[in-house]
Amino acid sequence: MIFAFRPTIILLLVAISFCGISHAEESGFRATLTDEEKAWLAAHPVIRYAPDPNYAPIEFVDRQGQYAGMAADYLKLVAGRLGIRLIQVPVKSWAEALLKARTHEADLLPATVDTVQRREYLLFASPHIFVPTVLITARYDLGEMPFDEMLRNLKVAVVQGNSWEERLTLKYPEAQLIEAPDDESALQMVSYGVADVMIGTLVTANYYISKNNITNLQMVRSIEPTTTLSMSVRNDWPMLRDLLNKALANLTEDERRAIDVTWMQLPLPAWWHNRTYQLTAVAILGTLLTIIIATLAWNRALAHKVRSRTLALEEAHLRLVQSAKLESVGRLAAGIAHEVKNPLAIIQMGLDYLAADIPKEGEGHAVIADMEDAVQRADTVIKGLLDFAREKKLDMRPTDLNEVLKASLKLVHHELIQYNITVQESLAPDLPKINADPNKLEQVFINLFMNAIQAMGRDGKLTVTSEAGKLKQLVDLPSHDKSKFTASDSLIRLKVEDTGPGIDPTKLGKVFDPFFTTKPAGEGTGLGLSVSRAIVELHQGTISLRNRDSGGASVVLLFKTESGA
Amino acid sequence: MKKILVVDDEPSLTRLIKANLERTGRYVVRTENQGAKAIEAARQFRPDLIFLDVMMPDMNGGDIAAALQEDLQLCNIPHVFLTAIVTHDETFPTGSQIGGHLFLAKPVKTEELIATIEKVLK
Repeated sequence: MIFAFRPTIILLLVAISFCGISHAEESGFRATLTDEEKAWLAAHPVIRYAPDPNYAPIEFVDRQGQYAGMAADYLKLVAGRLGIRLIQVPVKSWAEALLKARTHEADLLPATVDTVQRREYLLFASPHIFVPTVLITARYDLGEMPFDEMLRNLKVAVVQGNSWEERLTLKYPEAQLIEAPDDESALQMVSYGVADVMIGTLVTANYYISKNNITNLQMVRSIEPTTTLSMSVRNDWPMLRDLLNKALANLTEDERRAIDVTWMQLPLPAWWHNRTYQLTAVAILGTLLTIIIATLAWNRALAHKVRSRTLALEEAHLRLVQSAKLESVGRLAAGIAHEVKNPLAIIQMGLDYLAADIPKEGEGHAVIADMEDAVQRADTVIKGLLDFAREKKLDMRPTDLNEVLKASLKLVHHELIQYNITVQESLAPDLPKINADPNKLEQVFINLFMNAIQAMGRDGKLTVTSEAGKLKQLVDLPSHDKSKFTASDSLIRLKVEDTGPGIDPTKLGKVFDPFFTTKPAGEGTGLGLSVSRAIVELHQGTISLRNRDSGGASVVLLFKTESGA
Repeated sequence: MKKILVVDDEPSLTRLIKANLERTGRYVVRTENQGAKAIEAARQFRPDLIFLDVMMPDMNGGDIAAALQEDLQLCNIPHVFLTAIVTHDETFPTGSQIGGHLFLAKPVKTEELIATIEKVLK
């Protein structure tokens, strides 16, 4: 995040200005040194420094072993002023850097927080880096919890050797501190919830959060004190400390600003007075305005599109919900069926068992027979329920409707004979095939035939017709049927007519309702026609029922043929 | 005497089927109420025919049938499904067969059971 903003041009300018400035500054500066100071420098031309390898962007060591960061830039400037050569002491952690300083294996630490404990082995120059200290957490429930309370109740991640570790251990001995080798690890601990909070600087936290793409952390608040970093040296070299202070004091505003800009992207002071910035700002604003106006106009057009899309989506969603409902109804029906049919099965078996022990004389066997009928009736209702609730999946293939009609007539042959029904077939030859599920249509035709047979009783006539043609040629349709077809559609019309009493005209509108039945109580479930209509509609067809002029009922089914032929 | 294995999770039902079939003197019946134990029961009892309930809480009949097919000793034993969820219309046109398997729809009468046994074992 921060590095992405690093403008190459500014870097170039900085580099050039460094070259420009530094020589003049350096020679000017060296002139101000005392002889004692110059002698010391001559005796110590090489200074070994130990960095915190993982404290970006303040200081860090990159993969090539290069030392970089704010502190590095300051160190380079100061070393330039003093004319000293720097050598990096490689360390694996900040804790190790402190250790090397303690044992004098390193002479200088470029960025250190001044603490009482460290003064035991370090001398601190004047602070030169100031960054806000923040409390970082992944928890959103800490609110205004006071700092003391946090330290008493929460798990705090601390970096080994970090000044906060020192401070907390001293001031809050009961705090639960969890050690991490560096800030990056500490942040990850907090992100994963291993620790509740950590204390760090704004800039280092930002850097490692973007580097690791951690999205669940927030900086709760700034904490006092601000993180103040100084260069520090081994406590047996006070002369170096004084030299560092002198060099730091000699750094120019431009030099400091350049470092800030590179690493912290802090706004340059008083930028708005700069002419170039003013002109650029105006140009940018003007462009922005144009973009905004253009976007608004484009948005208007989009909004319209979005509205119509949303409508379509809502419709699709509704349909999905419907089919989900249907599916759960299907499952519910299957569950009910199972729970009812098992007891029915037990009763039936029980009746079989008891029947063997009941004497042939007397009422016993009649009772058994009635009970068996009752079981069958209950069974029929359940079967009807299953039919109604079953998921309407079709197995579509090119189908000759005449064949299906003939097959269905064969299946009700027994009933036709039993009731002495005459059958008249008028099936058009060369009836075009349509895409259909023959098994489901068979179900429909059987249902219509059985209705007709039951309506007629004995000695009736069943007429089955099939023909193909265009809409205009066919009989007047009720308006709701017409809406499915256009004048140019080629249709197939099937008719099933009987010579029974017909349907009570006041009930004609209800015949396709589920559970509507004209049969006496106990006979039939009334589900047949509603299921039949559902099946016909799944085939994009229509079904209608009316009374014939000559008496009896007539059921008309219409299907579209595939081609427009 | 023919050996019949009846697998169904309803003990009341299996008890009655066993009583009704054994009364005829032609069959000896073993019942199993836990689907998971069906294969083991079949191995021990070596039935001539198996009636399998389809919907059972622990293991459904289809899985048991598949397991029977895979067992070398058991794959030749014919099985008939007893089901509560097949409707009349599903058995009606296809003659009580679905996907090549024989089905009986509950509630079923003893005479239907016997007729099926005799047909299958002929």
